[in-house]
Amino acid sequence: MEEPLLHAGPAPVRTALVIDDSLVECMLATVVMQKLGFSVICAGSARQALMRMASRRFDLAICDISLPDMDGLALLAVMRTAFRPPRCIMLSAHDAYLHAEAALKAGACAYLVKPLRLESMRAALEKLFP
Amino acid sequence: MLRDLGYAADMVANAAQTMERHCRQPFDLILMDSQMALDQRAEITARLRAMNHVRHLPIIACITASSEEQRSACLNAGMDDVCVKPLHLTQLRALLLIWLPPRTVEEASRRDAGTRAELQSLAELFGNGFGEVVAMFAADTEARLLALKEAAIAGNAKQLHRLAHALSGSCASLSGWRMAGLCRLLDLKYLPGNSAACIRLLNDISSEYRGFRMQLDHVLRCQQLAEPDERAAAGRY
Repeated sequence: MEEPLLHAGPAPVRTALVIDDSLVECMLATVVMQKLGFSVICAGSARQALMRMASRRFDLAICDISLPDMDGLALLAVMRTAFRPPRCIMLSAHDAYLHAEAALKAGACAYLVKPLRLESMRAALEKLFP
Repeated sequence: MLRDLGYAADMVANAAQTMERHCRQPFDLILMDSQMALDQRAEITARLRAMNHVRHLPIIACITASSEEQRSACLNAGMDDVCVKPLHLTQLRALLLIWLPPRTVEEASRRDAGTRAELQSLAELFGNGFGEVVAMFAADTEARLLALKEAAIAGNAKQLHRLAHALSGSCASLSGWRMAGLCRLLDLKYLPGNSAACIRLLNDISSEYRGFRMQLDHVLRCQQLAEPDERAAAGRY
């Protein structure tokens, strides 16, 4: 009997959750992450993000530090209590970098200064997913 | 960094040197570091302001922490703007776009070409979705400008800061640096009871938006016109 051929198949697509209340910034993050090979789901608030996380697992969360319903740092703390939590990259405006430093201490893998650009995200991901 | 951006820069260490160099060859803009004591920075600002300038001399403070006290102290001392260290090239360029308007037609057209190149690379990144992004940005911005005017008239500081911050972020996302900078300035400088100055700044933001929107539409139109050619070219081979 002929042995079935074993195919390694394509690597599974990683999924990213983009959390930002600005639609334009969500669209930018989505296209950047798609170019980098991620499948993307967006959330416009912390509450929406937690709902999305309850229904599926994400490899990466990209979270704005200032959200309408919850501080980004508080959301980071909640996300880290999840079973197999996603790695988190925090985004912040340039003059809020002190918050970003606090985010790194609170367990974020990286922080990037807004506006998001393809090259800076690519560089951050190369360190996170070598 | 200033030299990388094509500007000539000179460094001085104290008030006496600043005045001496400025009298010899007037500066177009002053970046004042936070390592200098605040009273010394205030003294330089006062002395520069006391001189008769043909045009307003922009003085920008570079501070280390994003604390409200430092910002207010610098603005109260008569400085025009505040930037937070470590300074990034993007932020520095945005500051210069606000405070150093182009003086010649060539300079203005060079800047326009720079913005257009950035928009074209964003259009390439978004591909067919660029039109949707431009439409979303326009709808968002027009609603926010209206809400900002209402907040300014009503003296609703919290709402005004929130909207100005959000608008600045979405403009920067699409490389509308000058508009983003003006929105940041509104967020930084708005004080309740100062609605006349706020409305003036809002008018500047609206007029900058009209120009930026035209650039966005132009790049979008170019992208749409180029698409049929690409399809035709793909079909040929």
